[in-house]
Amino acid sequence: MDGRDKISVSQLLILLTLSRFFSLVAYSPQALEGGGNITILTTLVSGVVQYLALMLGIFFCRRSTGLSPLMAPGGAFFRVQSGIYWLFSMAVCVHSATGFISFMVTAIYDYRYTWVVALTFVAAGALAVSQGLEGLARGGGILMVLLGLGCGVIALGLWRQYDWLNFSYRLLPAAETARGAWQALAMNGEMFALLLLLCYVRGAPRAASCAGWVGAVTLGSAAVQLMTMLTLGAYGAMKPFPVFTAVTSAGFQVFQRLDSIFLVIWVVLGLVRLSVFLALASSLSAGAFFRPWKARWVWGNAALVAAASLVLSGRMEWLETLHKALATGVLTIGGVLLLPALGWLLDAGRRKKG
Amino acid sequence: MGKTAHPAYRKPEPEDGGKLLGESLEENVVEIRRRLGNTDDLMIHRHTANGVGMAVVMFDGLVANALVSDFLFRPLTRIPAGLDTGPKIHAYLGGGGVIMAGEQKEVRTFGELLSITMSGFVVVLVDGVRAGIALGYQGFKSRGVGEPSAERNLRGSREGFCEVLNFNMGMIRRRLRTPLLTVESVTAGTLSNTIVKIFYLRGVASPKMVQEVKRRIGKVKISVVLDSGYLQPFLDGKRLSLFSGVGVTERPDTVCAKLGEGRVAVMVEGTPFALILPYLFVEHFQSLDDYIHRPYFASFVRLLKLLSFFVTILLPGYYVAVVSFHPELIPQSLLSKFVGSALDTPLPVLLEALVVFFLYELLREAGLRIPSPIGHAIGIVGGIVIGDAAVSAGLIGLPMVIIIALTAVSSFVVPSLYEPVTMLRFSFIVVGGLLGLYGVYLCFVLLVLNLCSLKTMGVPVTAPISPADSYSFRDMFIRSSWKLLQQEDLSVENLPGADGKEA
Repeated sequence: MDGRDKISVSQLLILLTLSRFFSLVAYSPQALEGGGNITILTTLVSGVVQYLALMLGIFFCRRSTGLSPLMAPGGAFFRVQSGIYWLFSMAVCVHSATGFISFMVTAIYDYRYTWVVALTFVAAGALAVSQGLEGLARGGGILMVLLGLGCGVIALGLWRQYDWLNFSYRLLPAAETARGAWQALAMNGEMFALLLLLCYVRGAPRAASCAGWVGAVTLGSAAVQLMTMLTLGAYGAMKPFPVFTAVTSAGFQVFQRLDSIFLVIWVVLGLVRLSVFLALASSLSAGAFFRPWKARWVWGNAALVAAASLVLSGRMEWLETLHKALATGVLTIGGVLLLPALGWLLDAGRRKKG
Repeated sequence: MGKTAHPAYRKPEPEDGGKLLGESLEENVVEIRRRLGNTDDLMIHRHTANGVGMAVVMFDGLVANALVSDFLFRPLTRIPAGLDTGPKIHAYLGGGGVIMAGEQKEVRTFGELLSITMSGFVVVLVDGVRAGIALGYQGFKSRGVGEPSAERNLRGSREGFCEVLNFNMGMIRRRLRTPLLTVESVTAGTLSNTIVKIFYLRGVASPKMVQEVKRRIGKVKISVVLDSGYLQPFLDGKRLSLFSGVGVTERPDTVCAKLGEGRVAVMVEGTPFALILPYLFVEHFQSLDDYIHRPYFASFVRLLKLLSFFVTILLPGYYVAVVSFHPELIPQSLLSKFVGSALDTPLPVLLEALVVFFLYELLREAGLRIPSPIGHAIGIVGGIVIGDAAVSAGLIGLPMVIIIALTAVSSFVVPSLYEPVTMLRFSFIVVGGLLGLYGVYLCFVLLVLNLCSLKTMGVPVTAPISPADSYSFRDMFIRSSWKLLQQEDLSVENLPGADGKEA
């Protein structure tokens, strides 16, 4: 990913929507979004909070050198910023890769395949990043259409499984609702990715397009939750991958199983998420060392992600620790608000002096 | 030539073509003979008129002897008595009205002289003159204009390009009667000096693109260029891929249609295939017939081609993956047949698929290179003897034979994609057999991303699918009616994602 790559705002938002949807298909009412109570209401409330945080983040990204949460390359603060963002990106990469591997070896293959899946998945991610951000962004458009088709087929296949008796509208106390909304916000790593990718975009994203992106992700999340709830009811809360469990019951007259469609969706979304954050990690690591971007940065970072995800796949308690750390909201607070705000203040100070 | 080049692979240095012709006829003739190594097909006819020596230089087999005799030798024997010096005779012969020839040029260097005589010209050298008169009396035999063998259509023109560049140029000019059509000549091949023609419409094609094409052809350092395929990699984008952003066609009407969209065509002497650039991926699924058929049928055919493309690359790999790793996905009615067949054959499904596809490619390649009567025999041996016997003997399962047959037929629906499709099919079989559906899907996503990253001459190969251009959808996989298409023409330069254009 070098400076020559320039993508449009819509391509960036499509790419990040795909990346965000990975968390949606890995959705678990109890576990995956931070251990709190995620309901349709908390998801909708969280959408509003995410939008506000994002707009604030974009405001703080205004620099004399352009739109970016990072300072102009050269100073010590730029290195610190790049280092922290690199850490965030790597954390998301490892978290996503481990989640991907964990699903593959529990639901599709068995544990003997852990290292095969880990190595092939991360290598594929590195290959995808090597194609350049433009290629990734253009591919995102086609993959989005495939995703839409896949989701449509699954939704139709599940039609006979929907049971409105399963619908329960849980109204949690205000504090619980706020906690659930916060968890959905905290796990949205795509928000800081959006800020970091602003410098590769032609033009600046408008408030309406950001609202559209957050709205699409929120509605998608609510739709997945509703579909799972109608299909599985309370049973879904007991499953580690409730969306997949719901899909296994879908089918048509001839195509009795639609698991393979879920698998293609899973692979597409997992690979896009890994590629986006691996691209960021490699670009940030190159920037932190003031070195030009080369393919070796991608493969170096990919090797780290593969090693870390292999270790975490074997040590579930470590994975839980990483998960809890991310659920504290460090990505959103640090990456979307704190670091950009600090950069904005420093930049403003420099401008006054200069 | 690289510093560490193996001695066996040294590039021969071509002679200095810029040396000027001398005044002495004898010295010029000696130099020509020396440069050509006194080759047997060089013919030098000596004449004398009013005491001035003349030489007619040509190559045997490249000129029409009857024309040379009637329109050149006859005037040479009737030079008026008053012309007693070389310059006077040169001026008389070159002045027009004396010698009849289709084309007439003046050559001043040995390089020009040799190059033009090798193109079928006859050069007249006169003693005391540092220039020669080149006369076009080409008369070599060539394959005539015939139906394009690889791009047949049901309606429309049956003309295809042939090996003679001038005929091809005429076929294009006849169809595009506009002063905007520009043809530029360059040479490629340090030894072969092959003539390459670049076609474009002035004001329609981007000047930057035309310049870039010329620059890239200029960079080719191959010794002998015999086909447009030699230049294709130099014109393609830099990224490694199975797909190309350069199209190939042997139809003049296709070239004309593409020129009208702001593209550049490149033709090489001696080959009936033109290169078109940039060439979009979606164009592999389009043909001239689409614009002649009714829109609904054209759209149906395009969608059929797209489906065939996916079937041919994915179906064998998908089958291998499902039978090897995910038998639970097979519908109950087919489960016993698919799994039973896999269990009854001695080879694992992956190996069975690889062996069968290898055999199929073997038979296809054999059938392609041998005379057609024997080709039928190969088909019979392959189809009946090997296929039927292998199934009867239990070496290959019946479902596998059905998969091969379906895949083979599908692969010929889009012939321009045959090369990448064959490699992809093998790759998907291997990943399907080793990693199951996960591997197939992973490779598919990588394939999409690789395809999307390709750019030729600054235009994304996947445009206008991605970056999407809703206006272009009217003639993509669905073909709208001419009433709609006539409203505006496509210009590749203005496609979204093309350099400098908003995606």
